[in-house]
Amino acid sequence: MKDAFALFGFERRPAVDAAELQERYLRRAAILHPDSAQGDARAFVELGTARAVLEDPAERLNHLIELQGGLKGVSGSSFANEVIVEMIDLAALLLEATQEISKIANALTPLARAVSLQSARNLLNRLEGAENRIKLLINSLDEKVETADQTWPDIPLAQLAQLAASLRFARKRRTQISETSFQLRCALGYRDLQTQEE
Amino acid sequence: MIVGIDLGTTNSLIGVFEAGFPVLIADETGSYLTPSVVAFEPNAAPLVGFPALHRKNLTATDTIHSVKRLMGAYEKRSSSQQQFPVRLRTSVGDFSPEQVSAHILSKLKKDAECALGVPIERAVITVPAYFNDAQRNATKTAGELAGLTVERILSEPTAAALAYGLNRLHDRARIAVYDLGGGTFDISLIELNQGTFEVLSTCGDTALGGDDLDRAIADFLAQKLGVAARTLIKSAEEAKKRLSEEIKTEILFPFDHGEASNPTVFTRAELEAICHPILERTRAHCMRALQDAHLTQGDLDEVILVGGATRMPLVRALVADLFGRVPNTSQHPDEAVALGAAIQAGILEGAIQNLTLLDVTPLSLGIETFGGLMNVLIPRNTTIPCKSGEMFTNAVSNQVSLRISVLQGEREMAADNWKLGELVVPFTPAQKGQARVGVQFEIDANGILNVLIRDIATHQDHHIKIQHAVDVSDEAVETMIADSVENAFEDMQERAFTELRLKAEELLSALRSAFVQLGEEISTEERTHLDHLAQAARDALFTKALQPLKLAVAQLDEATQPLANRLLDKLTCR
Repeated sequence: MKDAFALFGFERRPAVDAAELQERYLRRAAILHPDSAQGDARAFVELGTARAVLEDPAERLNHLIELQGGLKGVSGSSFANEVIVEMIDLAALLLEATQEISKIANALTPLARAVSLQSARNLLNRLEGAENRIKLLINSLDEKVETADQTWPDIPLAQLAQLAASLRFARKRRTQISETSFQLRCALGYRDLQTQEE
Repeated sequence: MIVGIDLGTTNSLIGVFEAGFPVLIADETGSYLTPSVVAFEPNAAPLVGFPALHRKNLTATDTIHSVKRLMGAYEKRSSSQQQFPVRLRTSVGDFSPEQVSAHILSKLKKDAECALGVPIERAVITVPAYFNDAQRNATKTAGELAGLTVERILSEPTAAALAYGLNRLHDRARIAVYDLGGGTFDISLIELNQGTFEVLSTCGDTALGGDDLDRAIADFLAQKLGVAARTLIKSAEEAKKRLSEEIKTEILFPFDHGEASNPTVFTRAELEAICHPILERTRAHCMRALQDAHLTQGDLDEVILVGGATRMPLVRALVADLFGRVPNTSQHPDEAVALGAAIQAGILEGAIQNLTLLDVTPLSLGIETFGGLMNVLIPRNTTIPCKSGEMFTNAVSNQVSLRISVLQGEREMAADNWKLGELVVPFTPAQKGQARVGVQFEIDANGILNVLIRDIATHQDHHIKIQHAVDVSDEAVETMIADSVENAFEDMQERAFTELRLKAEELLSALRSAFVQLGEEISTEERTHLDHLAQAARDALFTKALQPLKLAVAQLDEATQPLANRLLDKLTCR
């Protein structure tokens, strides 16, 4: 793909000012949108793709590495240590929660439903704990991106690649966790509604 | 000249952008609203709108209303897995939902031509934001059948946002549009930024609306009056409307011979008790939209209500509770969407220059992968137009094609999503892994999918059409089609036992958990009693005796009810 940094007039580096990106995106989108007189559907789609890359720190770092000529045979996409610890715990918790959600949805009897809701409440607490941990993890990774930005370009690309892989994983997990807790909250919310009716 | 059309479940409207303003066009009777009702008669042109509505009682089977609910729907015919487009059966023939909708559109087109004195050939037509690809395509087809070039399929809440934002082009604000119409519900979160309208997220239910409330009210009244619910729909609808202003009303049920029954009092409290569970279903969608936009209630500057059902005080209270603020009712519930469509027409004509609309695709688009999972290629809430590609290669030598399923929806399992259809990727015969074909999925500004296939070796591009095959997911739609599904091949006896067995196993396992969770709170006496019942169920399971199992499960279900309540109480207390 084309240089997403150049498309928005940014310097190629690890960090991008989010507010400035949004501002520049909207300004260009208004001109390129197919509805506009100077519209160009192809360029509009490119613009959207480029924004998505710059918005997501993991994608942005990978794009930067690619633009700098790639890793050149250095294997560097392993995760940071703190990420590996989280990986194992979270996968099990998410699986358990997903099973509980389907149990609540498919319960045939009030007792089975009530029992599942009890477990759901406990799972929700555990998920909230996990969500906080992953938020802290993402914060610390974001800070590393800032540090990388300050030392740029005096930083090995392999280190950026590791950061990108960790960020991608952590952000994906955060999405999964918030999605799962959302579903659990919905299930528990419907229970509140039923007691109101009685 | 381009017109803007709101093709609604209950009512439709047409408007145009003129001299800097969106204006609605009235028909010859002076009404802006055209009821979305079509009545077919032998040897005559079909009636549309009020004339059809007034005919309704005389020729009920030939009068079609709420056809929007069937747009893009497919039905399964008994004894085959194949799906067929829905046909509506009338005494003058079968019609597709697109054909019926086209009659409504033709009527609106004629109204506009009379009022404006010019032929109308181009239109913007609105659809619920949550309409999928098949439903959008069907709407476009309906427009074409009515002799219109459909310049844009526009999402209804977005249209309403345009109507709200037209004279706020210099503002920066985040708004929610809560659109509860006759048959559909949408929630969209939109950011207004100096003339740019960026949709952040959208969610909804294409089978939830005022119609559902009317049906529930009719069911309630039917029980009270001892008559068939079907005959009470109209009274229910009218009572619902009156109760937006009054706190109680009288229901007069007209019998066929003209006499009325004794008036029955129907109160707003009763109405709200009936409607509350249905309206509560919008809550999860609103939460979902906020979650997807990474926003909380406090980030919103306004919550705008549109759609006829938002006149209900209960809806307003619910929205206020949901978003923690008093909703904005400045927009006309019935007219905002049509005005927005007219504004979009103005944008396309070039009459409005300083306004840009960045809409999104409501549903994720993907393909089925190994293991029956959905692989998302374009996530929901991606700004449209957009595209995404995937590369395919031949798995065996000289393979000539590969069949892939194209899916739309948010579920992990492929089978739980809408299957838009199948795509055949052609390969040039080559060694295994040598033939490579790029498939590009492109969602245009209408939210409609186009597929482009490129052979990497020959650099040949071709557009292909996917064959649509959309499941009828909604039960209400299924009953409306009134197509009988035969279960004759199933052994009812065996099926009954299987269902009971599942219920029994679930209860027995839940009972064990409940004993643990409640511990000392269960008396020895109660525990002995429950153990006794559980044993009876286990015995019946073992001997595979249907009747004893039925009895045991019923007894156990009833006896465990207090336990379920106690568990729920514990949940509430904490």
